[in-house]
Amino acid sequence: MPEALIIPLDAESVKKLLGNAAALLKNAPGVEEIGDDYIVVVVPRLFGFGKRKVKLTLRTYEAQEAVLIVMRSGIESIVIAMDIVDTGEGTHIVVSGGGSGNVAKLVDQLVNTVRKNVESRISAAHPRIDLVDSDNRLAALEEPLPPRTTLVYFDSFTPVRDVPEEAGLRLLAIMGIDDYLTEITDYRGVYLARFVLRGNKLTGAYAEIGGRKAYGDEALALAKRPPGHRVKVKAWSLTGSSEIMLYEPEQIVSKDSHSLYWIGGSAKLEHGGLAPNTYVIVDNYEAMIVDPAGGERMVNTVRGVIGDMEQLRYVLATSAEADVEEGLRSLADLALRAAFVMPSYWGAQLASVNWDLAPRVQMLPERETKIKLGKTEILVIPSRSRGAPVASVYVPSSKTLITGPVMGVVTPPGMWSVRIDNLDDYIDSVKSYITHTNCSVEFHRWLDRVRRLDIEVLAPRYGPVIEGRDNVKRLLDSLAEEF
Amino acid sequence: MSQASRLDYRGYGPFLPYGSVERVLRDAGTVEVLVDNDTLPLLKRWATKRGYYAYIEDGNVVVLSLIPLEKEPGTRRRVERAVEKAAPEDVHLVVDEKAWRNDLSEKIANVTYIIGAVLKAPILYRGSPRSPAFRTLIATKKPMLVRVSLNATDYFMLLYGNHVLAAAQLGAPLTPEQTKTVLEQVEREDVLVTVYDASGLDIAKEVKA
Repeated sequence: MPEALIIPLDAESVKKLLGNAAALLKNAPGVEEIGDDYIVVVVPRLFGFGKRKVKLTLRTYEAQEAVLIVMRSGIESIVIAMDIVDTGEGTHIVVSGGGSGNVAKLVDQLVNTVRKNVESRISAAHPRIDLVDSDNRLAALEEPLPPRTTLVYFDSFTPVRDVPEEAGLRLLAIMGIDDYLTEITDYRGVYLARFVLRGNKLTGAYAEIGGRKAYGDEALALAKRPPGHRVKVKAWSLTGSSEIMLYEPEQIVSKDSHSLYWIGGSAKLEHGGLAPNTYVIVDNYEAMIVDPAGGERMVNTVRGVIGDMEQLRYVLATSAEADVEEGLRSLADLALRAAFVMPSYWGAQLASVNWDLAPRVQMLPERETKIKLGKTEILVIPSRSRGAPVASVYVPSSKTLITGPVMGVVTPPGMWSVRIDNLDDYIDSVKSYITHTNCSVEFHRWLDRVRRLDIEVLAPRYGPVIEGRDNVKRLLDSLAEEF
Repeated sequence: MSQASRLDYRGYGPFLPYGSVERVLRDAGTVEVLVDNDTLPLLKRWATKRGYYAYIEDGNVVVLSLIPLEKEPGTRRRVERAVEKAAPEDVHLVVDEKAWRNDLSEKIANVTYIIGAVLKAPILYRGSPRSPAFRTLIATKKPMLVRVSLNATDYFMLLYGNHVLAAAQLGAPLTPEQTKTVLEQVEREDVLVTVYDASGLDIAKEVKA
């Protein structure tokens, strides 16, 4: 029975760290050459007289919890299987193999080599510790951050052995090598660790845990022990990276048994600068997802917020363009009791690309509609954007307007944030977005309607959220003057 | 005479291919970007946040540059001058063995010193060492610190113009011979270099001396 390698990481990070699976056969005894789609192995002749070379085709197949490396030529074949199973407390990797024909004699050697190479690749990815005073101070936020600093990663995980090491490994696996300031906090407010990662070196550390503050080595020792539950990880690129992966829900509103969460998803901002937002409304144990954007990771994040998917009553798409269409597809099998709600135009669009989901869609008319969620009545306001019918969602319990695609901003690489930094700059960007996505007559009609609402939080489809009644009013007044 | 790079993104609104703009800027050193009027402030803010120099001119043109342009009227002329000044093809980094400074190599091998320096010094360039913008920079007679990221290892070199006067791998100073080997790899492989303006650092005074 092959022994499992246990790695304190999620399966996605492990797969990214392993990279090209076929390259794990490198340096295996009996392997003479590895090409893009072939491998040459040397095997003993049948009766032990010398050796012969055999060229096999080489294919890699990736399933959800396994990677298969298949090598074959006629009846000669070798299959190496890597089971990569995320147990929730680390990922277990089991390498096994089998084969047919003369080349099957090589299976054990290849299995051992793959196993060793997996271990060495994971080990090589571990950040090396090389602490310096200035980065210890940077981690403590006692040094100014470089102007390019931008939030690029926001996720959560359950640490197993060594919190900073596991957070660093995840970050490097998912985001790649860069200079980062990383912050780890727990949900009870007793654990805070920050560290600076430059390349694959951990160069600064700071921790505040259980009332103790520590820098450098002492901080690493203090922060190492997991707090016993899930932690949040935020990372800022110190060089202004353009890729963002934001999968930890941020609670925007929390009032009694009503909450509103924001989820940022992922985006490559260098291609146009659109970063879609997903919102989750929870009221008295019933939940609605508005504009789910993304695939499996978005679904996992939503599950972290809602817990029991039986509580999910509605998945509402204010429009169903590419980002949301993927989200709807990802949720279809999990949200079995939820109604999929969207403007009729988008329901019709969806029917041409997603035949399974189309019958479950409840179409919204182009008039105001109310949807009961828990103890609140959510108002759906029709509008238009890019010439097509879309919707906005007003949540009276939290005085939040989720605008849908009517409103948003473009956020170029390095300028991303959850909340706005500067209202004047933000207003400029909103005007630019609206100019290129809407017609002023339709927009003005929508504006007239929403200005009559009491709004404390304005949650756009793209870019940062605006909080505070005064900020929202100033933005809407300025837009009314412009359009 | 070479032409200043010019990108026409009128009609794109704010949905610009920012990655492409950045690549052209890093390759050419200076670029004129034509955009819709409503996009001007956003593009300027973005460029400034990225550490570039941005000037709005002629209504809907944003001139972006890796280095500050001369303060004179007529940005387009300044762009042409910047391009004219671009270094000739044969400017490359060379190890100056006569002026080699072992003491400065020791200094830039010190992780504490380097990180302090990197945090303070403005970035002049980030990208390929094969681009004209990089050659333009190393043709200017000024002290610079170059970070070469090669095979997940960082090397730092102190330059005056295109002359390498000191070099180190973090934690270990390099000899001129070792530095030549690194430079060979820089020429041969696809590496990322970051050039910091070292004028404000203490090592700059020693270089000039």
